[in-house]
Amino acid sequence: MNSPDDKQLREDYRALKRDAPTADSDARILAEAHRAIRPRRHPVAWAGLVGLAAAIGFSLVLLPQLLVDTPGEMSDEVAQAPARSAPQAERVDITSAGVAKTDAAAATAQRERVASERAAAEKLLAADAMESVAEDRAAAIARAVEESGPDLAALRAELEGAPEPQWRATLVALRDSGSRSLAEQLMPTYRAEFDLDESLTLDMLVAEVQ
Amino acid sequence: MNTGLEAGSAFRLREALPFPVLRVTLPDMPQANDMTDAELMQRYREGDAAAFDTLYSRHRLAVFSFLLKHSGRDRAEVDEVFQECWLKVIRRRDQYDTAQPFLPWLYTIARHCLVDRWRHLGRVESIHVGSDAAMLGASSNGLARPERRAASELIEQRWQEALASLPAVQREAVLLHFETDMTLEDIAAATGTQRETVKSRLRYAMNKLRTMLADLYAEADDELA
Repeated sequence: MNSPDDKQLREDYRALKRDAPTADSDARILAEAHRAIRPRRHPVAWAGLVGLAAAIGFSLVLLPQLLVDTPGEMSDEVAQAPARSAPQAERVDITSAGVAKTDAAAATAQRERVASERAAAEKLLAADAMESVAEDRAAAIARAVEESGPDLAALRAELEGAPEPQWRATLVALRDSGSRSLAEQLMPTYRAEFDLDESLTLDMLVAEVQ
Repeated sequence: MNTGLEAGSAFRLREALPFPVLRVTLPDMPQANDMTDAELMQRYREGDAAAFDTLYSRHRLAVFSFLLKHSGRDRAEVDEVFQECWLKVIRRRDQYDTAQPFLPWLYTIARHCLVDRWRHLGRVESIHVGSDAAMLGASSNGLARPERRAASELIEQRWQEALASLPAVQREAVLLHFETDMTLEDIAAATGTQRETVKSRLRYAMNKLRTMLADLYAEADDELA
């Protein structure tokens, strides 16, 4: 049997079909790369742009609203002049049915926006709560270690099956409460438990959390 | 009247002009494709966006392939890690020391992105090898089939299985060796370990790959015979 040498293996590997990132990834990365080195505009230029945008916004949004009468205030003369105001009438439906329809659509959009914001807030709160519970528990463990002395086996038993935030919080709490060596001894188990890279150190973990 | 301006005669034109013509020679500008990665990064930091485009196109496939094969996860998820990796390269461009080779720096970031993702997901199952894949791998006689495409897919599958079955550190070393032209020192720098450690990881990994893929080469020998 012809056993391949290292070079042969490498060549054969390179002959395999290669997967590529998606076009979206390519586009996002390249756009970000170009955006990142774009020179910053002068503050005065920014102020000018903001002023210009405000002026355009005012003329597009507020001005038509100021100029269009409400149905109750509209005089007969104005109401009977369709030709002159036809383009405006196409854009703004000022009949009572039209106003009601617009109000309903706006209310629906508002409700959806509120619901979406609430869902996002609840998600954040849930994540915060989980972190908070983990930190409380970790602080209790660290206090117990301070009071009763280090017991690696008991700690391992305590953390067995615990989620990753709990492990992380406990390791950091131990290290902060002066039980650094105990935390160091737990690091290999932590890395193995969550299949983490062996180069991940306690200090890196602490730096990331803090 | 003879003006000395006959068409196509640059020499005569120069003679005919009433003022001396300076011969200006522009210095040869290196083409982006001829530049090293470090030079491209330097150019990018100085505001040349095209330099990044070249750098990205040079390494995108290798980085993606490394992340995909090392993590064993699905493409969509790896795509996110891939984006994170390159966005970090962009944001940390000023932290890169252009006196050092670029690839160890790039792959250090790629590894960290992968580790962050694993940690974010909490407990991670070991590399997934589907039952279909295992069955395909078991029937090595598939290589003898005439359909080249099927054979090619089978070979891909066997490689995927073999790589997935390696311990993570060996898989990482061998993927970096296969995907890039990094030296042992560069791989050691990228993985935060010693050259000799990388060497032994590669040796173990190669031996295992040879053993696991041996029947593919046996098939090839049979076909040649």
